[in-house]
Amino acid sequence: MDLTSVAKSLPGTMIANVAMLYGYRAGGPIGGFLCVFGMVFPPMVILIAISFFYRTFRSSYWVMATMEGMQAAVVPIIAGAALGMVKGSVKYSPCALVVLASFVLYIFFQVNAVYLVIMGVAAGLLIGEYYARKEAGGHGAP
Amino acid sequence: MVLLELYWSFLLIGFSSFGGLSMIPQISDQVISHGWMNASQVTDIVAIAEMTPGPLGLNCATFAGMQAAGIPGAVAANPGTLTPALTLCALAAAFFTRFRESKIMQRILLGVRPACLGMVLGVIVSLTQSTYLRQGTPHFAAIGIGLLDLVLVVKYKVSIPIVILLSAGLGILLFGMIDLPISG
Repeated sequence: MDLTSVAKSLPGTMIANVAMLYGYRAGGPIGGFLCVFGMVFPPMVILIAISFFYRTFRSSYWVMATMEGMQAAVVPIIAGAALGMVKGSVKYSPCALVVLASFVLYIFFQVNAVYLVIMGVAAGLLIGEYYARKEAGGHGAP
Repeated sequence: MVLLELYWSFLLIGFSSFGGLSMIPQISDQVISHGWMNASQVTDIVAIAEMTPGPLGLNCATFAGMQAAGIPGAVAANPGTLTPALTLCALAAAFFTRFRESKIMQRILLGVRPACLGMVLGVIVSLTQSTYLRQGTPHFAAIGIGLLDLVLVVKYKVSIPIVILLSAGLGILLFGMIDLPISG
């Protein structure tokens, strides 16, 4: 279970991270690489096949009808996942500011997503430092 | 060289994505700015990737790679997304105990998680615009399907592949059989 939370905390695809973490434990770096490779290969093959079909059939009448329906599902799905993200994201009130800042910068100023993550890292370190000092100050009070 | 660009883009995507769906804004930014896919295709691939086996990020990498440069493209894009797993996680696995107690990582996440949430909200807004409001006119059939899906996902916790299948079926019905217009 601990490995899973580490996998979630590190960047990248969670499942690839899990594969490496468990694989490394079981068989060192080679075990890790093999696990990641094993996990990646089947989906890649399947998606390559699907991509071929996509290219050929995307403009066909029935495929367009199907995709139109599927497209309508995407926003609700992302919204559902976003709801799940809210609890874990706003631990202290400044975090809500970070959410707002990120949202505004992304939508209205088209700031690149990578820069926003860097901003998040900086914000996190600052917020963490602030609250750590706050708590330490509280303990030191007579 | 396209293959290198693909690898590098997906490497950036990999290192900047904390939490499954936060890959979507990253992927969207990169593939659209490089001209490998347009917004409509990004929506397509999110739907397809949610239904197919494998994590969202890797499936998007394969798909975008295919669009950009065929099979070599797909093979170039995937390792990019995997690099954080292959490097950071290998290090974390080797130094596990120290990592678990790392305050720095916890602090970083304190800021990164809200930043990712903000971006995901941003993607929701821009996709809402492109999916349900085509050129300013509301696309009622799509909105209808979307609202139904929202209720299913939030209230009834229906699983994602089922919601997508259902929407695909509704699409076939509404746009295929009844032949509603696909835009507006």
